[in-house]
Amino acid sequence: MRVEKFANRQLLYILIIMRVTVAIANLPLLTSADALQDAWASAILLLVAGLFVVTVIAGLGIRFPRLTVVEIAQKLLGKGAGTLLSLLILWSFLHLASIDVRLYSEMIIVGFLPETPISFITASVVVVATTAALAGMEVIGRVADIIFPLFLAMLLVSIGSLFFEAEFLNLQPVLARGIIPVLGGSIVSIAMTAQLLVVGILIPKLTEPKRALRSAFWAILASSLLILGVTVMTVGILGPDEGARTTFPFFKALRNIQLSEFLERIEILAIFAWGLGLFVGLSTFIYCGAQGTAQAFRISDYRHVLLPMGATWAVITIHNFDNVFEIRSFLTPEYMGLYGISLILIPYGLLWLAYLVRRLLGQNPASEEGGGR
Amino acid sequence: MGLFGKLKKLFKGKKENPIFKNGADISELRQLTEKETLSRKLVDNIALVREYHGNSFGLQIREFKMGPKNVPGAAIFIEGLVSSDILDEVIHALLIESGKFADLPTSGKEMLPFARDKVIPAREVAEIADLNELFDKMLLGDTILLFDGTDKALAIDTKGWKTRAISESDAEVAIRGPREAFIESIHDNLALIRRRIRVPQLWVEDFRIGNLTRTHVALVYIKGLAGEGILEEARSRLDKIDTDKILESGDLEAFIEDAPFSVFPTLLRTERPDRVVAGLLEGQVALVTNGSPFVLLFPATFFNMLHAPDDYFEKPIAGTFLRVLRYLAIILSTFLPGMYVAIINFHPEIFPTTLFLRIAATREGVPFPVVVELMVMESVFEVLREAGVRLPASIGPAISIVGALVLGDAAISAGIVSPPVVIVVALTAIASFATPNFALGIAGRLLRFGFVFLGAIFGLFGIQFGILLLIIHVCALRSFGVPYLNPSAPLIWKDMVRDHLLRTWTWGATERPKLVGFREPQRGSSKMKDEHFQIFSRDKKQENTGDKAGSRDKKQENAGDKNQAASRDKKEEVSEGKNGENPREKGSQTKYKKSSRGKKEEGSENES
Repeated sequence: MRVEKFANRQLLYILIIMRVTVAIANLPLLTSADALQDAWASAILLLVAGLFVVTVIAGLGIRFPRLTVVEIAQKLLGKGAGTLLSLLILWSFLHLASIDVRLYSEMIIVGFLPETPISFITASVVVVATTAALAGMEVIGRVADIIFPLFLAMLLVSIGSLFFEAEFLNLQPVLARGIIPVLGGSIVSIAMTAQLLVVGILIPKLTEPKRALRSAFWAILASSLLILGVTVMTVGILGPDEGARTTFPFFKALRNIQLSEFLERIEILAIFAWGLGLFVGLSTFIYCGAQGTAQAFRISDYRHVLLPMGATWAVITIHNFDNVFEIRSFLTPEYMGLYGISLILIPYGLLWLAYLVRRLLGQNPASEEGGGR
Repeated sequence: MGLFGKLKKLFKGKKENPIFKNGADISELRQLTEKETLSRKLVDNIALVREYHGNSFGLQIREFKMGPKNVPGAAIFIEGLVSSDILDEVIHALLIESGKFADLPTSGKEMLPFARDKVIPAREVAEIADLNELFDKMLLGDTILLFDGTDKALAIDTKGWKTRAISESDAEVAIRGPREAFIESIHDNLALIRRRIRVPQLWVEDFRIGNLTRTHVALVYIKGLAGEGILEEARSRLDKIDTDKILESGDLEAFIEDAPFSVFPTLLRTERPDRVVAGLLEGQVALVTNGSPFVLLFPATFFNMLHAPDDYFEKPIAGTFLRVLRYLAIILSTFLPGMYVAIINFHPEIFPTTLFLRIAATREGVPFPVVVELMVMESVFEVLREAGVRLPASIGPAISIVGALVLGDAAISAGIVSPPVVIVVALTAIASFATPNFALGIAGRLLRFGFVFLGAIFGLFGIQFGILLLIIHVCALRSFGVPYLNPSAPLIWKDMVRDHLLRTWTWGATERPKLVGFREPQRGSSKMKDEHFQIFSRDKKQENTGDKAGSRDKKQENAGDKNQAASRDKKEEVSEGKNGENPREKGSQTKYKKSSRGKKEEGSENES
């Protein structure tokens, strides 16, 4: 089989798209807790936390530039424990992907195609994303290359056109209620940085694995700024209270735009570009899930795992939540905080611990089999 | 019967030939031909040719006796494949001019080399020994010269058949640019290419493909510019072909293309020599097939197919405008009908209210859903188009009258289709004619129907799924190792700006496309750019060059530039080597780049 490689630039695009799509869909910064008009501060907090998370994930990855996180875990913790731990990470891919798909399907159904059964839309989404994953990471990277400019243009045009309509007085009073609501508002979004776990799988596929941390860093920076922009504009248009109550606040805000006398209701085009971006994230998730599973169970080709995984994914998407409000109640600090801790902190905490202990004991686990520097 | 009957008897007496049983099939016959060798007797040889060619009509055997000793000989050729002028000259030389030689040999064995070296005035004479070779040459237009007493024969190049005159291309029209187009003869086509690249590094490799058609196929490339990996791949794909016929480059394309199940063409076909030369100069490789005016160029990318020659010959700003227009046209022609159905069915709110009311009013009383309406009209248009291609030119106008008046006008006034649908179909049709590459145009036409279905089922989201599947598919395609969407995915920003989104000035395009022309990235010196890119007038610079000290300074500056260029190359090499987009090429490419860098550094040292 040919060795697949994709460029660091493509990783950057994929991460930006992945982070931004989920963040702007239901804007958990605003809707998950009562940060209200201070949601922008939560966005800044998210940036800081994101940088920390990415350092934890990619920092370990670049010490083993030829190994995925699954292999690193097996190496540091031993076969059994390592596989168990990596299953936790792999589960997150499937679960996050199913949340994404469900949000997307719900949005289509609520907003545009109310009579279409959700399983139909979900199945279509799954089929498209699985097709991309089947074609391999190289192709997903190229798809990201094409979609990223469209996605970015859509986002910038949206933010730009909202800017002229926004009522920035809505942002007042600034931080009047202290830091606690701000913290609460950012928890869900921070937990969603579990998306960055894909970096752990993707690093060995990069053309320059050692520069992965850098790419991921820039991705977090750019995506957080975009999220910040979206949050401020949404609050500016809808006001804090209405914004926090709405399911898809950003798209609701977009409905208010009127580019000219005869161009109204262009939010469908924004959703169009947003949807294109979503698929990049989805196919990356499913690819990483399949790749990781194949490695955990020593299956020669990830493609064997892909189809059953796609089917499972569709089932989870439909049966995990009854409706969009269940997703909303899942995306609250109480659940997602735990979620984030168990998906990011526990596995990576253990891995780092094992790594540092080995280093202290005088071994260099990375140097074996030429994986290190 | 006469002589022939006698010969046949003679022949038969010698050995039993399975041909006479009439039982041998074509492959057996071919094998038998390969086994036969020429004998020392002239009569046997003539009989052999007659037997194997079935004494076909047009097979001419001119027997003669040569020299004072009457050495028997024969010239065998096929009427119509040989030029009678050359043949006359050859026979004249053999029979009349040869009398002037005092040392004319007395046996056939000596006569053969003598005739080859001293008598025959043809351009090319080859010595052959077996029947297969004899037929190979003869059926290509050579005249075979046999002498009694030798088991060798001479193949004299007397080729000359009627070819079409070189005329303008019908399929690829350009307002500005050379008018010549390829024709069916491989030699003329190669000449058209050679006339435009006058360096010995334009190499042509000859292949014979097709067990029965034995078609000449020429692999044309610039040695040292085309990637060796690409060439090797091309050679191995050509060698693997096992078929009885190559009638057109389309037959060949089917054997060597990367994605046979895709609607997208991965080889660029063109009728224009200037197009081929432009490709060769960028590092592409051309395949010229005998009998086909279409030359295949590869590795070809999606954007290659959207470029028209005019882009490069017009002024760059106009060229860019036309190019962007064309991109929009192909997007329109693929997605417009699907979008229309999706919006009318699912998202009418996108339309301004007045426009939507207008459309709704025209749809009043139309008996079909909009999908059916559109599909019917699209199909009608496709049928009209196909009929238009097949029609003789004299009844061509009739179809446009029937199409436009009867179908368009009458269908609307009868209330069967609504006018907006006709507008959409017409717009799509016009836009689809703007696609410069016919094969890509067909892909767009096919995909259009798919998008209409998706739009009818899912609305804009269906179109979104379709677009995604399309992007995934196109991103996964490769043409001889080069990604199909080359400069846009994987993104190579420089190429994208220079020759794809925009069309820069020729002096500004100093580098070849990265993934195709990587062996010699520099087209011309980058000085050109500095010289031409001047916002202010040029007078100042000329003053400077008059001044000696100034000119020396400038020289040093230039040397500095060159060093910079060299170091830039170094960087690129690193990034590309690791990029891994083209693993096949890696070895040769790094090797070459090293040497080119070495050259550059040398140059700059000399100058400073």
